[in-house]
Amino acid sequence: MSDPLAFLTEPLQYQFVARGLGMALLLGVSGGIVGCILLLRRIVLMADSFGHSLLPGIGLAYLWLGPGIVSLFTGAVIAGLFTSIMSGLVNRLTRLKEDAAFGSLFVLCFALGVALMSKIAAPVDLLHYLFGNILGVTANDLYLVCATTCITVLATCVFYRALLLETFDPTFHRASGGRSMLTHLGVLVAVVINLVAALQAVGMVLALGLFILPAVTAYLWCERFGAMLMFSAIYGGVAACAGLFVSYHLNLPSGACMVGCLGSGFLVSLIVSPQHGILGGLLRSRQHYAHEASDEVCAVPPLPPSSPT
Amino acid sequence: MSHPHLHCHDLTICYQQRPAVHHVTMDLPCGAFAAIVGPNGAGKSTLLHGILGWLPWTSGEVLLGGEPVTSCLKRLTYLPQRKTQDLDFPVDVETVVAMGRFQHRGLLAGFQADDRQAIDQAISEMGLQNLRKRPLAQLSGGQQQRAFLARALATGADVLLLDEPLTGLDEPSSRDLLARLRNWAVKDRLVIAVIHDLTAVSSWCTHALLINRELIACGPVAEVMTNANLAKAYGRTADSVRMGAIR
Repeated sequence: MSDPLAFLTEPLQYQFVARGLGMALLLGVSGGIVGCILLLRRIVLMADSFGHSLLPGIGLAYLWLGPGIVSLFTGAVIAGLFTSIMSGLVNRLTRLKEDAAFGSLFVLCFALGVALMSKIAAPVDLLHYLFGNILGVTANDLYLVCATTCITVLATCVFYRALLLETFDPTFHRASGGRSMLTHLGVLVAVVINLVAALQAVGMVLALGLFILPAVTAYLWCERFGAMLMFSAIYGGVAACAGLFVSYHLNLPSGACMVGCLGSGFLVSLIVSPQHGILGGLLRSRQHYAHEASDEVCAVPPLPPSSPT
Repeated sequence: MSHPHLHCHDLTICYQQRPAVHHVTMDLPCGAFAAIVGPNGAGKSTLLHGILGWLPWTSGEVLLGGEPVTSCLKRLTYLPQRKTQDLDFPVDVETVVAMGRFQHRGLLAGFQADDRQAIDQAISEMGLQNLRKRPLAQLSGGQQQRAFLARALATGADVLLLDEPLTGLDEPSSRDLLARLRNWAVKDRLVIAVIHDLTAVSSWCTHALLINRELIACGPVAEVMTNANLAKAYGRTADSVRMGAIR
């Protein structure tokens, strides 16, 4: 493709691609925001477990309520919240920590989900949930993702202070009268609805990529929480769309291309980020050794007296 | 607002359905810089959490300026142990201090002039003017602890509870922090801190509470930190306690 404008405009003549791009943009934005919170709260792998635990919910909803998007969404949300509550209970009532409880439950749920799906749906449907197909989404899917993104962005703006405090210093948040449990539950709900929204596009195996890759990239560049959220949301949206263009032109799977584009930015950042990248670190080490070699003495500020009396 | 005079009467606090600290009766006057001292597992942090109302009391009461402490929790602020905070978090000093004002403004209301004044004053009181835009991760341990202390000051509370504020700090930073805490307490406030360094307690604190699941002694530091009391609390000779604590 020699004309760069055609690279961008040609895919847009197809409605299914335009719809997929809208979906990629929305998912990238809200995944980027949720990913930052997961990363800073150190519960990224818990979100991965969540993704797998949604499958039996989808299977049961398919069985009882039919294949409609709203019923599948409801089933997945209920399954996600059920896993979250169960692992919380296991953590509280037994000696297992929350990550072990999550790990055990998600494998069980996933096995149950695979068994259920094999009975009620064609194998291709199961693969659809595992790996997604963003170019096959319907207008209803797009509305659902649009609603999810709006809720995520709005909730982040409204609860920004609570999120910042709870993520940074939960003990102080509690001491300031904050409701830690409520904030944690809100984060879990946001994770579940975003995961479900991402299932159609990239599938549960790659869904975590939409969350974590923009967030880790932003973490390598930003020194402020608000800036990190903005960077991650914008980067998530742009890179996911870029991935879809690449997928169209190279005729490669869309989910893999979206995650691949997000990952490329991350790998570049890993090397060139001035403060936290590998090159920056090496440069600083060299400067440090050069500074030590030149035997410069730093001025030490005066200390307070050794005793008040 | 009355002076922050803290009175606990026959306080028993439970942790995981068991009494962790029991029958504590103590008085801490306004202006005191009090250390909670005792061996590991003595219930020092539990006592702080009990005063904050985070752990249930099975008996007793806590009064602040004559009122039940549960009705005036906004007068208390808490500085947790440093291990509970993510020190690599992308946040600058000014934002950390501003967090102290969040409880006054709720979720959405913008900061008013008094909030900005409280933030500026806390930053300048802790000597952080030149560091206010600096990311927290780029500060030394002592500077980070000063930033957290500034946040506590910005809340406007007059009782400051600190859980092991000296952990991980070198001697100059510890000394600097103790000096600031003592100066802060003198201004009609009350500081209560869990401190392991017995020499620092004797040098800098005005009051001490010696506990080992029950109160051994409480009062002015010279009356509490006696060899007999230390031996009773730690179950060994006072000299070995002091040497161990210093190490």
